Amino acid sequence: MNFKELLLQAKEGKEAAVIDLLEMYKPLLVKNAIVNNRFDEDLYQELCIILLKCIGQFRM
Amino acid sequence: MWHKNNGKSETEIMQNRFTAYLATAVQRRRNDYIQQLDRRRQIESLTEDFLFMPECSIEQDMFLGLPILMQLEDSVLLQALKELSERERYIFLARVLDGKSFETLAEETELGYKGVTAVYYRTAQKIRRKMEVTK
Repeated sequence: MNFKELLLQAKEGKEAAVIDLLEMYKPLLVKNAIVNNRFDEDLYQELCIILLKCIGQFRM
Repeated sequence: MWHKNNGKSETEIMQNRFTAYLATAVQRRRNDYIQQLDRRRQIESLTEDFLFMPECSIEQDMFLGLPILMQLEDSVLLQALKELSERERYIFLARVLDGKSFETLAEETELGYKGVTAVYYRTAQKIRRKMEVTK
């Protein structure tokens, strides 16, 4: 399955696709959740929410 | 499953677009979060103990990059400066403190004369507004 199909499925609310995307972008989220050399769990949570929002709002 | 993204096919272009979109959103959320954290920490430490200097820990990272700020005593102004973006802060401080002309700044930042003046005046306005709010 390519990325476009994955994103389309995630947009439709298929949980497996959303989880795949979350796994795919985990490194980016983790990298941005580091504040002062420490991993901030709250921020990571916020960023996961941002990813979900982005999936919904992204215009293909 | 992993393969190199050359940005050639339609789906690869879309993936790149989505990644860029996400990265911007994540970056913005991160900045907001850090600002909130700082503000909360400042309020908390103010009520805790007077001997404990609230500015010390929070502004430390700023001081490393901008030694000139060591001389600032006005913490409201400091807070306003801290909330600016890197580019705005650089242009504003270079203009105000180092007295660089807009022409040289335009060359340095590759923004063009108009762009630099726009950033400068917008920044000045932002600072003024922020200082009024906090007062």
